[in-house]
Amino acid sequence: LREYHRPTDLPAALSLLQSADHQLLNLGPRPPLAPFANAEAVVDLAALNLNAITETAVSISIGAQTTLQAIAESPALHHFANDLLPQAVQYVAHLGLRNVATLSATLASPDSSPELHLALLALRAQADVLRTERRTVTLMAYEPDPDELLLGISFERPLNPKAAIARVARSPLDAAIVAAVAVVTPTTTTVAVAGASPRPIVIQSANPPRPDTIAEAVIATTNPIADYRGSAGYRKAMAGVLAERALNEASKP
Amino acid sequence: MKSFGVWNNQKMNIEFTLNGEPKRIECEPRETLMAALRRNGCWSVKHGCETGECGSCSVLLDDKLTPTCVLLAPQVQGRTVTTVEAIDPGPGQPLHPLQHAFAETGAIQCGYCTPAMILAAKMLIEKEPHPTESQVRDVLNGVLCRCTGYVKPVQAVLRAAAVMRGEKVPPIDSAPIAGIPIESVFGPLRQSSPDAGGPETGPTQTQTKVFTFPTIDTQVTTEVVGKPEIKVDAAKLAKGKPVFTDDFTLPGMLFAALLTSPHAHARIKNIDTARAKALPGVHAVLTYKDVARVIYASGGQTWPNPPPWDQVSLDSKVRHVGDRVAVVAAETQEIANEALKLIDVDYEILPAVFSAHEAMKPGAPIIHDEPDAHKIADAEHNIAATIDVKLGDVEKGFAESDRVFEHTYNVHQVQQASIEPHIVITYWDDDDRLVIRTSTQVPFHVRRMVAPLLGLPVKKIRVIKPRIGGGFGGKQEMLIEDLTAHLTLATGRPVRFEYTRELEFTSARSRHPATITYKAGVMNNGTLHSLSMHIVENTGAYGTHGLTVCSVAGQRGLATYRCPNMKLQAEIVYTNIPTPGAFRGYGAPQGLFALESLMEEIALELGIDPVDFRMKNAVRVGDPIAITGAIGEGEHEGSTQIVQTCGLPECVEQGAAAIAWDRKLDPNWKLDPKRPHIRRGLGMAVCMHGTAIPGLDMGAASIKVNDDGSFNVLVGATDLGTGSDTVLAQIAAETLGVPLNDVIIYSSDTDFTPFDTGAYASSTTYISGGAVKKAAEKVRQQIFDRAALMLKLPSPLGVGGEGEGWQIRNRQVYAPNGQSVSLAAIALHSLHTEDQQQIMATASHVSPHSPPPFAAQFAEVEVDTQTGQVTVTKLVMAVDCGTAINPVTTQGQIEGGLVQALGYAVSEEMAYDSNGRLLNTRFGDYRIFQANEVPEIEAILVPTYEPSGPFGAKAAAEIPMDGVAPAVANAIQDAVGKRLRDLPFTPEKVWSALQN
Repeated sequence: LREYHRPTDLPAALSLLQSADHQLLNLGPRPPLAPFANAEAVVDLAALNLNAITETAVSISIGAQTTLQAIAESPALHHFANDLLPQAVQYVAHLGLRNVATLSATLASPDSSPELHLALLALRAQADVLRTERRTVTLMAYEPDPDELLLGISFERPLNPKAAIARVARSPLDAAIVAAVAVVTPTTTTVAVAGASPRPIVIQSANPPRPDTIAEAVIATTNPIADYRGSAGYRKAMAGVLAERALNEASKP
Repeated sequence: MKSFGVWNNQKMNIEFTLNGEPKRIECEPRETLMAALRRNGCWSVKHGCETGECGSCSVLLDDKLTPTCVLLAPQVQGRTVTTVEAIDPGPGQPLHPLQHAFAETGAIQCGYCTPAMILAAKMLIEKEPHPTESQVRDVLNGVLCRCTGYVKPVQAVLRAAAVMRGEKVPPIDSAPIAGIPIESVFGPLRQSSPDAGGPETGPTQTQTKVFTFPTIDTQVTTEVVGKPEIKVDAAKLAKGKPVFTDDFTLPGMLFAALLTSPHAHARIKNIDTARAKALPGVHAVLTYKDVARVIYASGGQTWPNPPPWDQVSLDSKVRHVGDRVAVVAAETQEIANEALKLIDVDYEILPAVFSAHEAMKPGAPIIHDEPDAHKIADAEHNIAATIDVKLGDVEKGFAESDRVFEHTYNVHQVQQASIEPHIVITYWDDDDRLVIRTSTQVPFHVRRMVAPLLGLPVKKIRVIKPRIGGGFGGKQEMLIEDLTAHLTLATGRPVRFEYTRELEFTSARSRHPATITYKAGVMNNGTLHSLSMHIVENTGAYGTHGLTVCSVAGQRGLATYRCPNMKLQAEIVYTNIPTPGAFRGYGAPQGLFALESLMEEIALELGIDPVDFRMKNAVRVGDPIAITGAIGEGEHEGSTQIVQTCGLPECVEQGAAAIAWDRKLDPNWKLDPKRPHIRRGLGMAVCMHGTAIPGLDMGAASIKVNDDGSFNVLVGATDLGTGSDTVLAQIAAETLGVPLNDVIIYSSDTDFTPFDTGAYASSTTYISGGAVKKAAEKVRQQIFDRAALMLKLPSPLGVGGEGEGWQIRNRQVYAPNGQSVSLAAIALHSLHTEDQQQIMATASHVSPHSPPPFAAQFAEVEVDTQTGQVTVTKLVMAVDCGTAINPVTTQGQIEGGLVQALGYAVSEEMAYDSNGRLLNTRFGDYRIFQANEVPEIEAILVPTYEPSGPFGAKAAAEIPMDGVAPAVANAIQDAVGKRLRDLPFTPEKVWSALQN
């Protein structure tokens, strides 16, 4: 590693990132063992002011460089959907790493505990992305790309949303083997499940929600990958259990 | 665009605020902030991993707790960094309230993570002056601690917050809670020593759970022993002073890196180091071709090391993924790492075997086919060693029994995971002697064992043991000292070699996995009549501690209960997994998990209360423990031990009360109407451990008086964070009649301190403490003699006399006639005035006894019947460790041990793929508990007075590791009616059991 860059505007940042051997310096909740093994230069986005959490009457936006701890402490996110996002980040990393891990790096870290990603999927969040042009895609469709910049995530503020997280792990705050997040609004129900397929499963339905039906839909969608923490069969079973549990919890008055 | 960067590895200048002062440093773009801070004198910033997960390198970055190993130094440009050095009050000044609270509550054990914890607490209190316990736990979760179980750090933060708010806090040694007169339970105390005393401490009165100490009335008071004295090393550890192995640098020091095997079993057909050697900055690349082939066993044990001897420093064959292939020394760590990639190795990949049972079968790959290995029991079948011991006739016993039970239990492989990795610095001193500065539990064994590997005589080697950042048995090994020294021999330069966290997992030591089969014959009246134990222990690629760990598993697994017929049969088997070794408990956690699961199963099957069944059969005072003598210690013969003290009934009673054992019979308590998928349960286990290896472990101490009447105590004992330096100093201070701060203790340096076998086998307080007490008594006699000379009285040291009627109290020596003289005056007189002499003495101690500490372990669990997740909500352990020389440090040992044992039960496991590659080589994946997820913990000290121990002491450090797993297994059975016989109790295992 020979260069360190801290650009102060987006075009410069994008230009650097699109150069050969330049790597985004973007810490996630699960830093890699050899972070810059093949990089000649790193690009630090700290000076781009992509770390704001803003709310309007109808939506909330979170800058891509917002740290997980800023999400945990954000007044805008407290009391929203049963404190869903501040709760979710508690599971993703410990305090020290939450102070350095960014939202964008978390979303690009499939090996980290998935609660934040699931929460945003269940909120039907949108990703604001810059490549040559700025575009918005659903978070579900968003794929991190080293040649483009995630600027932020936004989601609508439905009236009186309810949410819940259900998870199973080896210890209370261990990374989830399987996790589910449910968000219930007056009009829709969304359940997102991780750990039971290579990508998160998202099931949406019109209200009133039928937890057992949604759990069945989740199980039908699973394609688990086993690891040392849980077999495919176990993960498949847990996907249904936890989806139903999260939904039941979120459906409580 | 405003962008700063540097080309071609040039240095870049970084400006930031460090501890309130503007700072400008030069760094390379790739340098981590941790490295840059340490390079600039912030030694409090500790390396524990490379992924930010342990948090010991954390600082406050713009007032936020931040791990620095994952940040690049340039990222702090324009920002503010605070380390613990910012609150260093300077020499002789009062500590910051946080540092003081950490010291006085016993929150500092090894102290490696302490600076980061103090910073986390500082951040919290500045933001929230009235923190709750939950808030404290939430901020401490950013720093992993393997020693304390987080109980006392939480207490410390709450206490410091109160002090910083200007509130008055109660003393740590506040009035004791009324206890149970020990005589009423166990009869008259055997010990009549006038030095005998008991703990007089009590709760710290914080919001955190506090603990009771039943008192012992020995009719004699002690001034220092039994008191919650602040650890002698607490202040420097709280300040983050450079006291660890790596807090040290030398001009011209090279950095080492290890090339490890990617294959589980392979022969090195060819190895070409030419490209690596050609890399600028590389000074040495060593392979098996470059170092003498000297067979050894790496376990740090008494000479001669137990068999087999099956290792060499570098071999032409590799036997596990992570095994040694080559080692490099270079100008920088980065160059050394780069050089590893340039070593070309041509492997002949061999079939590998990972299961001990498979390894013994005919046709299995032979792991040790080298002709020069020494004393392998049956290399052809991969059997490193065997044990076959009988007492009575078990087969006849089974035939005579009313009921016979047989069950098999599987225990798994876990890692010590001390936060400080293995770290060694070697260099030549001015006298051309090799100095080995190392984080070791066994400095004297290291010196003896490394000498033949290097071709140097012992006298040419000096081993220095600085403070140790945790060991837990993992450093009872001559692990990397040989490689580091080989590099210094090859280059003539100082060499530093530190394991990464990944290497800690793949290439250090761990706990032996095993399969344990018990067969038990029981009479209808509930007495054990015949008990056989068969252990198949997986010792991985090398034998090291395999035989002796298995011996202890058998000792603990057969000694706890009375039984006339016993048998232990064991095979210690080579496989191609990374080598297990010593780990706190040393076989006892394996043996007792199986035994205490078995006892529960038998009791439930017989319809007898499991506690009653245990107590009916448990050993008691006066019982001979013949099995320990029959098994022995490796090749060393054992001896039958007689139980002199046993507080087990009281432990059971106290523990049951603390966990509210009666709830076990309350069906309403077991259900949670708001969470219908949850079932609650209670479980318990009885534990019996050993105290030192009888007739084998030896410690020595030297004590001399200084001009002012203070004392230097030199011990070879190795304080690895347990507080043994403090305990030994307390024993010296008590014997010499001075306050603790008149004792300056130093450990350990093979040039200056007398021999000690090292910190293992729960021996330090008992053995090294015995040596300190003996040496102090000799010094005391010399003091009495000198006082008599000064007071013109007859010498008190007549035939057989030991100064009867003479006393030392509060630095003053009193003659029987009431005359007195101060220690300072005695010191000056002896050193300068008349018949000059250095008042000093050295003593050694070895004991034929190994008095067993006893404990009752209780666990409360919640089982999620839908997911199988087991949440342990409370752990209680009541321990009879004799006299607790320092009740606070003893409690700390128990609390920390319980959390480590909890990981063994539910979350920790070394997992492999089908090729023997370890899958979880980092914290997180390898799950050790954080501060905000540990259950409520209660440690209860039940005192007895062990006549063979210093001031009545037995051991406490290892027994907390022994009972959690079986207690949790029994609690799961209580909750959901399912018996789990395989550790750990992962959600899937429990869920699978629930499906059947």
